[in-house]
Amino acid sequence: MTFTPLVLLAAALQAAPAQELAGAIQGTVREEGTGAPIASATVSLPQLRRSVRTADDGGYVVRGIPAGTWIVRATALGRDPSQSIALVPQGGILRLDLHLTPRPVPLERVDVQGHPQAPAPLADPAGPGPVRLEPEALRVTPALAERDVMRAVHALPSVAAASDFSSAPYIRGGSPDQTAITLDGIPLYNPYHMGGLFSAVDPDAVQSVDVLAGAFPASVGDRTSGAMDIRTRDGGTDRVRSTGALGLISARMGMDGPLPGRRGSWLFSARRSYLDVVSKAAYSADVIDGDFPYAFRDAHLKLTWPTAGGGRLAATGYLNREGIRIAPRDSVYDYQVAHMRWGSRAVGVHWWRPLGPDRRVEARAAWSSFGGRFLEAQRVRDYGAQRYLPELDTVLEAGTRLHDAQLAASAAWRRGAHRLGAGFDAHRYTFFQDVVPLSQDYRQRFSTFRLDQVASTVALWAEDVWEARPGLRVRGGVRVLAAGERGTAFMPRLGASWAATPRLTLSAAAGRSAQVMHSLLDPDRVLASVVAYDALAAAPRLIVSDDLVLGAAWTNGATELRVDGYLRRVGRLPLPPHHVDPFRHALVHPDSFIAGSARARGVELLASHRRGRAGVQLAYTLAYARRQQDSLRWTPRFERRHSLDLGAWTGWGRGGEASLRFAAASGQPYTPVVGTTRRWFHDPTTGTLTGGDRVEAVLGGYNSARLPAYLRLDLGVRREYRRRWGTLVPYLQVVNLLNRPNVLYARPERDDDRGVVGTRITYGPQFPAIPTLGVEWRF
Amino acid sequence: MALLNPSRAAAALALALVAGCGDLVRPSDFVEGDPDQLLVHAVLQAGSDSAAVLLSRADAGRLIHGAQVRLLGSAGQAMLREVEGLEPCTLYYVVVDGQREPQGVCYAGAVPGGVRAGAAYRLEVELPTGERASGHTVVPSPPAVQGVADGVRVAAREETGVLVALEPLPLKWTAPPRVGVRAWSSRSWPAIPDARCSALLYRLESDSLVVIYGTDMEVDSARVVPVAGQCYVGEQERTRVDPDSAEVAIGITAYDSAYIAYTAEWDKGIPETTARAGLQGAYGVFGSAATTVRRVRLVPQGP
Repeated sequence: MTFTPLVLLAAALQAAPAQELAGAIQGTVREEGTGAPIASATVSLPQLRRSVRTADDGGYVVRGIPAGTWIVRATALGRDPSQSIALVPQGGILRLDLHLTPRPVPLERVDVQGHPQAPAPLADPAGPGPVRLEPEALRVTPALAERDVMRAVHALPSVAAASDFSSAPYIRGGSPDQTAITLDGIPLYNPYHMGGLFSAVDPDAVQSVDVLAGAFPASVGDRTSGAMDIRTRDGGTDRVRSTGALGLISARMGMDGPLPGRRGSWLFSARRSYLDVVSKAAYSADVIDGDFPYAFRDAHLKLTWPTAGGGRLAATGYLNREGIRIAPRDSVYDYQVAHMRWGSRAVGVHWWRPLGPDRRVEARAAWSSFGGRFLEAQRVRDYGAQRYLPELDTVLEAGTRLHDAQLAASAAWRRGAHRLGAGFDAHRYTFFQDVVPLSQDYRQRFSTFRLDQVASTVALWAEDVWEARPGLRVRGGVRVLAAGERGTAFMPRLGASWAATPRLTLSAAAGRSAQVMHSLLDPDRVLASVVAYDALAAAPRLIVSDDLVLGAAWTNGATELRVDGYLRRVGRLPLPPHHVDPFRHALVHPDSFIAGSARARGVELLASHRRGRAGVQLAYTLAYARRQQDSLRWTPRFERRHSLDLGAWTGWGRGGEASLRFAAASGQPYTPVVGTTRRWFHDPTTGTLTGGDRVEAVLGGYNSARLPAYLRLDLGVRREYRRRWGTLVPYLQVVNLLNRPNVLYARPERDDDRGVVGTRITYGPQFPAIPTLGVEWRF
Repeated sequence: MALLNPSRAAAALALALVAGCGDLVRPSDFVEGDPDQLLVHAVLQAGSDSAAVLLSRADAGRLIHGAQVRLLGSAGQAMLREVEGLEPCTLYYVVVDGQREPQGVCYAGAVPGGVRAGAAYRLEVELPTGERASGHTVVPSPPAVQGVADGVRVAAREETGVLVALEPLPLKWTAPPRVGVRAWSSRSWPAIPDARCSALLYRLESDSLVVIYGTDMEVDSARVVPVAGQCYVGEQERTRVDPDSAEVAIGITAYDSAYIAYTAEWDKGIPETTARAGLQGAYGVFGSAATTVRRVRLVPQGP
C-alpha cells in the first residue's frame, strides 16, 4: 500500500452555499505511469464508513463530509491500493486525484457494477451498446510503424477496412462518410495521414474508443452507419508527466500536468514526420535518386477544470496538417511545380454539471474543419537561354473545404424508475469543392467545377429509460432531424436489455437514423479503397437508415462473449453513376449522383479472455452488403463476407510483452473475365466496319466473383525498461510477417498479341512484410 | 487454458498458416479465352439496298465458311451469301508478312425493298457446327439537319495544303429519341475518285476548337469548323488545293441504342451485356444507322 503525502488545502477550494456546513472531496482516480483514468474504482473514507465508485472517466465525488482531516483510500481491481490524507474545508470542495499502480491479480470472479455520473457520448443504457477499445488493446495491437487508434479499431467485428492502405472505417455495410468520428465528442473529418496509412490521433492521449454500430439511442446522431468516439485522457493533477515515441517515420511527444493552483489539468501532444528531412539529406548525399517532399504533423491540446457543484469544463483543440511540395531541382530540364496542403482542425468546449444526485446538464460547442488546396504550375520557358525561369504559369488549381459548427446541450434526470433525457444538437455545415484547369491541356482533361453549399441541421431528441424491473431496462425515444429544404426525419429509437442471468444479458434495439452529408467519392473505385480522405457534400435529401440489432452478452469476469445480429436498410443514398470499370472513371464525382439504396445484414461475434498478463480476443463477422441503383444490384467492393480477427498477447520476463494479430477474410468482390472478343465499329464515312484487330476481355456480372482470400499475420514485441527517471519501451513490429501477397484488385489488361486469345490479369498487392521499430518513453 | 500457452498457440497458428499459404497469389495471371468464340458484326444503314454481316471468331484466323445468314424484315427475307474478300463488310485489313490476313468472312446480299428507316429487322445465323446466333434492330430515322445548306461554299484559309473554314458553321439537328448521334466529316475529290483525302471537324467551345472524333454528341447543335486535310493518290501526297478538291462531307449519323452502348469506351474489359449488343448467341453487335450528309465546299481566300 502506498501512502502519499499530505494533500494541502492549496488544492482547489470552491465556495459552497452558506447553509451547507459539510464539505466534499472530488477528483479522479488514475493509473500511475499512464495517467489513464480508472473506472469503477472504489474511493472510501474508512473513518466515516463512506465509499463511492468512480465513473467511466475515473471521476468521483464524496459529499457531506464534515470539515477535518480524513483518510481517503482508493482501490481498484488489479492495482495496488492508495491512501491519502485530506483536509476537508468547511462547506468547501477539496480536489483530490489518486493514482494506483497496476498489479495484476488473478481472481475467480468479480462482478463490478459502476454508476457513471457522466456517461460516455455513445453509452446505450438499454440496447446492444457500444464496443469499447481499451488502451490495453491499443497497446498490444501490432501496427505499421507505431500504435494506431484507427487500425486497432479494425479488430472489432463491426468495423472493416477496404484495404491495408486505408484506415477509414466501413461499418456494417456503410462507407466511411456514414460513420461519425468524434474526439471527446467533437466531430473530426479525415483524421488521417499519408492517405490513410496512419490515423492522425496521438495514441498516448487516448483513453478509450467506443464504437456504436447502429440502432443508436436518441441522443446519438446524425450518421446512418456508425459512431466512433475517441476519448482522450485528462492530464494528471499531481505532477507533470511526459510520454513520447521515436519511430521510423515520425516522432511524437506529449506532456501533461496540473494547471496552476492544481485546479484542473492540461495535456499537450504533438507529432511530426521526418521522411522529408531524411530523404532530402539522403538525396543531397547522393544516397537515393529522389527525395520525398511530404510531411505531416498533428497536435492535440486538452484542458480540464472542475467547476462549481462538482461539474467539469473541458476544452479540446486538434490540428492535423499535411503537405507535399514539389519544386524543380534544376532550371534546365525541370519545370513542374506542385504544392498541396491539407488537413483538419477542431476546437471544442464541453461542460457538464450534476444538479443533485438525479439530474445532470451538459453542453457542447465545437468547430471542426477539413480543407486542402492543390496547385500545379509550370515554370516559364526562356527559349533563348534554353532554361526555365522562376516565374510560374499555374495550370491547375483545386481545393476542398468543409466546416462544421456545432452547438449541443442536453439534460438528464431521474424520476422513479425512469431516467429521462432530452436535448438538441445543431450543426451548420459548409461544403466547398473546386477544380479549375487553367491551361489548354488541362482544360481538355478536367472540367471546371465548383460546389459551394451550406446545410444547417437541428436535431431535437428525448428519451426515457425505464427500469421496468430489476435487470430489465427499456428505452424509448425519438430524434427529429430538421435539415431545411433537404427534409425532416422523424426517427423513433427503441431498445431493451434484460439481464437473463447474472452473466447473460440479452438486448435488442431498433431505430431510424438520418444524415445530411454524403461522400462525393465513388466507393467502388479501387482508389477509394486506397485513399481514406473523403470529399463531402450535402445530399439533396436526407439519407435515411433503418436498423434492427439483436444482441447477447455473456461474461464470467475473465471471459467475455458478445454476439450481435443486425439488419440495415438505407434509402435515398446518393450513388455515382454505376460504372462497370472500377479503374476508368473519376474517383470524385462532383455531380450526377443518383438516389440509390443499400441493405446490410450480418452476425458479429466478439470473444475475449484474459488471464494474468495474457489475453486473447477473437472477432468474427458474417456480413452481407448490397447496393441498388434503379434495377441494378451489386455487392460493394469493400464487403468481405467472412472475416476473422484474432489477437493474442502475453507478458514475458520482466516488462516484456509479445502480441500477434491474425486476420483472415473472404476476398473482396471483383468483376471476373468471362470471355474474349474483338470489336468492330461502324465507319460512317465508308459505311463499312473498322477495327477488330484487338482482343478484349469480356466481363461477367459486376462484382460477381471474389479475389483470393485475405490472410495476414502481424507480430509485435515490446519491453519496458524502468529507471528512476522514467520508462523506456523499445518495440519491434512486423506487419504481414508471412509476406503473403494479399490482393487489392485484379485488373484485366488488353493483350495486343494477335496470336493469343485470352486476357492478362494483373493483381494489385497490399502490404508486403514490413518490419518497423521504435522506442516509446514516459516519465 | 491450454490455448493461452504461448508456445502451443504459436505452433498451432504456424501450422495453420503454412497449410493455408499454398495458393500464394502471383502478380499476374493469364486467363485463356475461347478461341472459337463466335463474333457477329453488322450495322444496317437506312437507305442502303444491301446488308453485310461479318462472321469471325475470337481467334481471327479461324474462318467461318458455309454459314446460313438470313435477314428478315417486313418486306421479306434476304439470304446473305459468303463473298470473296471482305469489302462489303470492311475496308480494313491486317497485313502480316506482306500478305493480307483475313479477319473473318463477309456475308452480304440485297435487302428486299432496301433498309428502311423505322423498320425492324431480325438477323439469324446458323453455322455448320450447329452454333446459332440471332439479333434484332429497329433502324433509326436520319437526323434532320438545319443551319448548313447542302452544297454551300465556305470561305477558308489555306495553311500548308490544309483548308480551314474561316467562320464556324451553325449546325443543328434533331434526332429521334433513344438514338445516339455522331458527327463526322470526310473529304472527297470528285475529279480524282482514287484520291484518299482526310477531313476534320472541329467544334467551337467557348474560345477553343475541339476536334470531333466521331464521339457521341449529347447536344443538338454545335458550331463546327470543317477542315479539308491532305489527299493522297496512291502513295503520292497531293497538296495542291483548288475548290474542286475541297469538298467536305459533314455527316450526322443516328445509331440505335444497341450500337451506341456497344461503342462505349472501356479500358479494362467490356461488360458482357454490352459485348453482345442487339445479339444472342454471339459477341458482337447487330445495330443500325441512318445518316444525313451536308456537303460544303471550302474555297480558299486570297492572302
